[in-house]
Amino acid sequence: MDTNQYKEVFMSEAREHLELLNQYLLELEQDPSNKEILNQIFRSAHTLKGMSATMGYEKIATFAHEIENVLDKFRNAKLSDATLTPERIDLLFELMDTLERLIGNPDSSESIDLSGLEELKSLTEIEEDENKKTKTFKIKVKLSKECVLKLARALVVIRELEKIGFITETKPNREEIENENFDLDFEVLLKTEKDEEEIKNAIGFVPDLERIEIENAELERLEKPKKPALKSIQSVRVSVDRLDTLMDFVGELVINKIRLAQLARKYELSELKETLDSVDRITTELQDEVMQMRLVPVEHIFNRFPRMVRDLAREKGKEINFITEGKEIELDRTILDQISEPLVHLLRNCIDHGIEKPEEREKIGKARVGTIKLIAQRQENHTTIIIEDDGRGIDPEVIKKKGLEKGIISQEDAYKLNDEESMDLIFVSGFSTAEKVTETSGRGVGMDAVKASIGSLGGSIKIDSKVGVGTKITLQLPLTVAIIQCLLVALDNETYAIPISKVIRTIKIKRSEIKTIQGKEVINYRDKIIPLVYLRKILKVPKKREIDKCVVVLVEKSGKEVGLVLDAIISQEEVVIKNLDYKLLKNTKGFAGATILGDGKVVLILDLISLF
Amino acid sequence: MQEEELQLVIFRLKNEEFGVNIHQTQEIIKKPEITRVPNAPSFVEGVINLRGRIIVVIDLNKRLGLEVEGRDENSRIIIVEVDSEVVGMLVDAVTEVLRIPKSNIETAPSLVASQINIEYLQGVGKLKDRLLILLDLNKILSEEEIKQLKQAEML
Repeated sequence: MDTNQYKEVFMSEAREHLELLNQYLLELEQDPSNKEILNQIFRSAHTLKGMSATMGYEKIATFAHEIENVLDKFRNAKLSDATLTPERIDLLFELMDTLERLIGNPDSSESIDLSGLEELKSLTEIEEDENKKTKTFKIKVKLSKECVLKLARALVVIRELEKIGFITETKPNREEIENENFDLDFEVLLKTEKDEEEIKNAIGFVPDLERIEIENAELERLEKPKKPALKSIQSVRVSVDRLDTLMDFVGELVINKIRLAQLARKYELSELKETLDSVDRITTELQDEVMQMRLVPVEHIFNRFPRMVRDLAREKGKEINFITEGKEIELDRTILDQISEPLVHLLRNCIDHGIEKPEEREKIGKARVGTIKLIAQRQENHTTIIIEDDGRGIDPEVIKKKGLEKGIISQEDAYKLNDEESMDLIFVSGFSTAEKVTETSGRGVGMDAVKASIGSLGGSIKIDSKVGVGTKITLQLPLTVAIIQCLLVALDNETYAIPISKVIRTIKIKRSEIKTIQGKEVINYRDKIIPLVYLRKILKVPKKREIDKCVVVLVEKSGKEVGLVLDAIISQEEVVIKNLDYKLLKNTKGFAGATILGDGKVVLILDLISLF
Repeated sequence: MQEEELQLVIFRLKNEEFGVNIHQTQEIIKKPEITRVPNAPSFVEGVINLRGRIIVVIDLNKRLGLEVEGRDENSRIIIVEVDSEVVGMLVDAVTEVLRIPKSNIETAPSLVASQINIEYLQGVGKLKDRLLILLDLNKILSEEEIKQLKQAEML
């Protein structure tokens, strides 16, 4: 069999199982006596073994089999905190890591380190509870003809059996049963410590069971069911590149659609206009569909974190309760890819600097175990990701002091900065609050890199912190990167686009309303003094003539409102972002990208974070 | 034995003739509307829309430190690909495409009657009484050079 074309599929599925394994192990660590979790781990390892064997990856299959054996021993042992000590869970995690390495490179001939495995094997052997040897039973269940809730009854039987043992096989298989593809009979192979009588008691209460037969089936396997008829394909896996290409095409289509609409208006072709209306509707729907296709639940990256948090917390001697919420929230995969690293960095910061050591926490009257929350929320036109800890918080004064020491700000600046502005120093390159560079937080990627990568997605980052209470970091992310709403603004005959997500409101003013306070130009708007920034100066647009009227676009920057002064607002448009990732423009700051308008004109999209 | 030849696109900057390997050029277009990019290096003319792609255009005169005369209808943009990046070069005129034997190219020209910094030259092609200056596009479009240039601007 040519396995190459299936390799990708295998690897992605295997990774999903690994993720599950890690997740279950974390749960098991919290609840070491829970057999059900252990069974789930066993099942995943079993599936992995099967998959690898099918693909001919003997090494992975053998290794998975060994893991299965170890797990089996745990299953047969009496589970308690003493059996599954954190050290042993560590060893199990190590096995998962080895498994991950193997899966990452299934064709490699690299030898595997089996010391952890051996250690676990020898450990568990001692503790095996000899009195409680498991046996395998074949349980045949027949439902009565009058039974109207076939599926429900069958599932209850299976659930009850799972409580007392481990189901190795069912006939028909689980999927078939769950799809109600069986008549009145089904069979279950159960590995359990219980005897026939106890099994019967366990499921005897289920109504509508006409007959229960239990046979000892120590060596028996259920007769292999016939291959089910091919099901129609419900979903396909598509490579991300193809989705990207599709997105590009949709982008082009939108641009050309706008162009056509302009032509129709210009030449007043009403028939063309009618057709265009329907093209318009279809394009919008197409755009929505493609967008939907690119959405991936944040779960994909969130699921990796519990393990990371756990390992790091142990390493740092901290106790942390890690909570994730909103895993089902979906994000464009490009965004998801790009926030993964920043999130790792932020979480590391929480563990390393945020959460105090257990003793320290107790001393100041906090719960011994610190809490880190990772929350995804969907707002109307953006997604928010919040990382919150109940650690020591960030002191703006300390930040300010550090900024002074590192020469990022002058003494004069230090007096002027308010708390929020001081906090913003964290994002200045070259700033790191760590007393010493640690492996955890001092990896060269600083908060400036985090901010830059969130910014490049058109998102923003905000820190709220209370000394002694904790820190909350909020990432605001657009729903999609490719198409955004922009305000097109004019400066003489140049046009620029401002992402609408950054705009609070626009105000028309007369020049005479601009006041000067301490040498800075401001306006008084609704009893608030708002500093002004002249886009013309920043963008070096040659000055032509002074117009009396101008427009101020209020935007938020570093938690403060700033007014951008410009000539006029042209329109609000949906634009397709094209990046300006060119070597020649590497040192040119201030633009999030460019877009092509309906008339073919290129317009630059302002990035308010790096612009001023 | 047939002598190896090089096919060149010949263009004009002020009154000097330059050549660029035809394999490095993608197309030659008339000057479209160019969008200025504020705060970019001074020789960056701006960005253009080339059939839905955004391309950076540099003014080759400025890049090479030559005077810029008023542009006329002869101005062209040569789209080149260097290091897998596509860039447009604004030139005064594109005159012809010609073949030149490799042996006619002097790679280390000792004496050139040109105002161009010798660093940017790849060689000089001699064809009868004409001198064709071959530019080193990698250098002209490289980051290092640009950085130095930026620093010089700031001084």
